[in-house]
Amino acid sequence: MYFLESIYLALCMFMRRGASALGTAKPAVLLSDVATPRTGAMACRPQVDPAILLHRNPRAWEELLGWRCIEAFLEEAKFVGVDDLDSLVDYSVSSPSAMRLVLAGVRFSGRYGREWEDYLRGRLEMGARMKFPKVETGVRRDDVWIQISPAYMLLPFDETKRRWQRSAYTLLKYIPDIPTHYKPREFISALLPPELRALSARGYVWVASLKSRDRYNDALAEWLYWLNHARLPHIDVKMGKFEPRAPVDSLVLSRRRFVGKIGAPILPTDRQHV
Amino acid sequence: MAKSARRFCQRIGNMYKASDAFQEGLRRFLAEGGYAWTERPGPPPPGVKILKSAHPPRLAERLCEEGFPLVYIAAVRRRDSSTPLEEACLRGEAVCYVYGDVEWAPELEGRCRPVTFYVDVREEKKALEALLLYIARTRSLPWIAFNREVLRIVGLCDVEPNACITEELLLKKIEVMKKQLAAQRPEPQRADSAEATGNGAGPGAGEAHVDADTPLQAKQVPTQDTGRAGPAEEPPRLRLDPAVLGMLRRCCGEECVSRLLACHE
Repeated sequence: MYFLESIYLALCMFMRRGASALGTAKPAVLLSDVATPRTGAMACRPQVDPAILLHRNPRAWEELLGWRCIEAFLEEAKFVGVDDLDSLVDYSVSSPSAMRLVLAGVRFSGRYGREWEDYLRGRLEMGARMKFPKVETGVRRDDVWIQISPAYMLLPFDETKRRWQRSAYTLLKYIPDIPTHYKPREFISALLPPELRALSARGYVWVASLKSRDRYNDALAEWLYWLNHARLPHIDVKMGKFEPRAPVDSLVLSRRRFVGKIGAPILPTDRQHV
Repeated sequence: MAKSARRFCQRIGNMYKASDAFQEGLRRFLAEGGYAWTERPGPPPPGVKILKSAHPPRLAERLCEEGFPLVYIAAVRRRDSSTPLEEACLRGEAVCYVYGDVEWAPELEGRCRPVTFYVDVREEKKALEALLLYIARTRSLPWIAFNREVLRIVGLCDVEPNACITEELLLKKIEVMKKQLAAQRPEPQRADSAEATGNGAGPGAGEAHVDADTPLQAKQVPTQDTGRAGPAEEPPRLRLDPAVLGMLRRCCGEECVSRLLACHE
């Protein structure tokens, strides 16, 4: 009896394993229209999300991506005439949406591996990467609607136009065709109205705390930071290099070890004892 | 639409009628260019589309009925050169840039005669660039019809920025620059002409154009040029001497004025 049961169990195990092996078999053609080469590619273990491709600071690339990733990136970028880290960073910042094709052969693993793989398949988180602490501003900016992070420029505008229209129409009002593939920072800097750029003078935390239709403006603060520094705030915070623009931004620096709900409002009164 | 379909059929038909002139020309170009390539009957592999949008499949039906082949080109960039080009594309082991006049669709299966040229572009963008130039020339396609990411990869954005940036965007940028230059003219002492080009490098660079007199109070104030025309328009809120503000703007920069105004509120 027991003997029969054990044979039955063994058979089940075998079948289950067989089935799972079939289930996990990778399809020959990937989901998006970009076919990603897999053989012979080096695995890279980044410590940061793909937004670093818009971060013009080679030091951050070294620290957060590591040389294993950078070498894999350089290997792929040889095709476009890039041969060292500085030129790779320049290329990436000046043509973010083309990087998906450039990096198509790199294999990723680790904590952020899934996010990078998804990016290569054309899927990327749209919202702000940095959750700024919040302060009371007492003002609303319902006329401003930018809920897309600059990191979303890593996907081609032609493919994501609908999302931009829906979630960042303030940007499209001034820049009808976001040049995600060629010097986007230069064009956006020139075309974004000074009135919006000037908001950063009151501090990124203040900008992020502005409310537009009951949503905070973290993404707008990210845009302003990126336009001012060509770097992304959440990566600068990771690196300990966040650059405040107003006294209120010191909240970001003092909040590095913030415990609690991310994005929860912190009012100035809460910070008085710090 | 019917007109465009007729024109398309006529144009493509003419191209094909001279005993598959396009195929022959392509073969000659590939052989002369030293490419490694194979020609396979069958639809194109999945990959990055070279054109922004190809013609819809139904436009090809008449051509197919007349027996003309549908020619596709797959420029294959593979890492492992031992894998055959076709397999590398189909198995997802290479990046394949695919060109075709007509978008391939399953409903064309059996009715049309597709032919795909698999071209090895190795690790050189020159090879891909030459292929793109050939396609643009022989098919009379403007750069604006091409996928902009592919143009960037090939390096054509640097050579022909108009191909990559839409004319609308370029005109808008020129307009903004003109406005900035006009605004600067009455103040010759300002030395930030380089920043007026919009290359906002470094903190505050982008804010060099900020109208200092635009109140930073977030309650929306019209964004039109309130600044240069007259700080005197809003005396009750600012109560700062416009002359002093002007001097501050010249000496300390726009950001300084912005901060002062923010503080003053």
